Amino acid sequence: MQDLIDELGHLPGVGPKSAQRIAFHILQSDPVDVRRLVAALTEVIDKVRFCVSCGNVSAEELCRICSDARRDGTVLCVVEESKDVVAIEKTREFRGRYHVLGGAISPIEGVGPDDLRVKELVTRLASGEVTEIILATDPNLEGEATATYLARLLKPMGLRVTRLASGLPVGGDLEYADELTLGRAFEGRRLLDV
Amino acid sequence: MPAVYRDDAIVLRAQKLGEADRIVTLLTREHGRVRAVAKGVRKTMSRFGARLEPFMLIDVQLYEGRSLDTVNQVETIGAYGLTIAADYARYTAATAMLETAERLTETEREPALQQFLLLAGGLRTLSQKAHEPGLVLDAYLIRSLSVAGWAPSFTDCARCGQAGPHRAFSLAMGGSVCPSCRPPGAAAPHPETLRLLSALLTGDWPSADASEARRRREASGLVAAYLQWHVERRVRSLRWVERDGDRPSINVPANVPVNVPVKVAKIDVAAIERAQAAVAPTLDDPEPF
Ligand SMILES: [Zn+2]
Ligand SMILES: [Zn+2]
Repeated sequence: MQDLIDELGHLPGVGPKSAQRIAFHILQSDPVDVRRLVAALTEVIDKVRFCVSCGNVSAEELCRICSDARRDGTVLCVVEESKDVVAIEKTREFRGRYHVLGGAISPIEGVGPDDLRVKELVTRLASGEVTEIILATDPNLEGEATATYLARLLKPMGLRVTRLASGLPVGGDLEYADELTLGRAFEGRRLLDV
Repeated sequence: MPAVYRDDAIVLRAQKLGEADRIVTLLTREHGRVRAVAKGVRKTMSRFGARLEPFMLIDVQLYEGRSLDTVNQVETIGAYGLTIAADYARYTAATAMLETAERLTETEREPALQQFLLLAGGLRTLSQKAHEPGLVLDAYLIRSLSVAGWAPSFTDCARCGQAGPHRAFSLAMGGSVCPSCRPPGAAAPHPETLRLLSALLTGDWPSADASEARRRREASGLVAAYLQWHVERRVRSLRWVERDGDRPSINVPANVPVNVPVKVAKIDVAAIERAQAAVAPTLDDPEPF
């Protein structure tokens, strides 16, 4: 029982108390439900892997997006996590391909550029097909710093490097915007066609 | 009713908690280092916005809790974050400063006014881009260790006080040592390196700025070793700090085209600073170094 609580406690967002609650819940559940959970977990580690090209979660060696010939191979969108791919795909705005870094540069948490899929990104660019890179790391300071690092690395390769504009949240009042958001919104301003 | 208090603070660390919350570690002016929950901060509509990101100097109102406090209101005093994150060398230097401040304020809620002022001044200096980031970092490290009670000596003998400069340098004894106090195996840094360290400690920027790259490298090695000698756990962000002239650690394959015209979307720091200047600070800015 303690082993189970310890293991659950390692999951993101699960503290010791929640781990205990989940463990007791499992103990009191119908064994059929629990076996289904176990089967789902086993399937995840056995069948789901990471796309060899972009690093996105995938059932095949090449993910659905990388193997889709209709996607624009000249534009690459760099994101931190697979869940960011899902979020961008939902917008249906982007027709290029992705590169999943596996996180952001965070020296204080012991994560440097070598711990992310940066080498893989540079290797991918060697074919010359990609001409534009969209840096879509999280709009926080670690994401900003990661974008700064990548822009500096990719600049000498002659690529068009852009950063996702992070503007003001729609539905909010300007006076409540914080300084960083307001600053970035100035930066990402666009010409109005009237 | 939980107690409410208000203080100035620097955000040292922001860790994800659950779906939308964060635990922030703050170094406050009057309450030392505190950890607090910021609810809903990761939602794009959060009223806290980017005010609770690392490197930010804020005016914050907190509800006192048993182990964790809760952030209630935040205003920005110094938005150093984006200028710092827009330059990788500055970002890595600033991160090492935050981690060191965390290490040197071992006990939560124990007031550490000097450490607070020093870190605020250091971050402000970094964001002003007046000096090479590695120098600002080393100046900060030496001074924060001094404030913590481990002031190194770079001229007189650290053990007997005999007037220097001396050739030998011993981490264990606290810096420069005279020939009679010198322990076996003491380092013998270049005299210029010791002069640089001394300049960084006292804030003699004209001398520090004029120093040679190899003296800076030797000085930062000594500072890092001195820091690790005194703090128990390793300051892990130090290994990622980019020093003067360092290049990215990733090698670009030879077959990647490099002669195509470059078009890079630059982060327009000037525009951001103009936008920030429009927001008048509510409190006095900290003294730069
Ligand atoms: Zn893929
Ligand atoms: Zn002596």
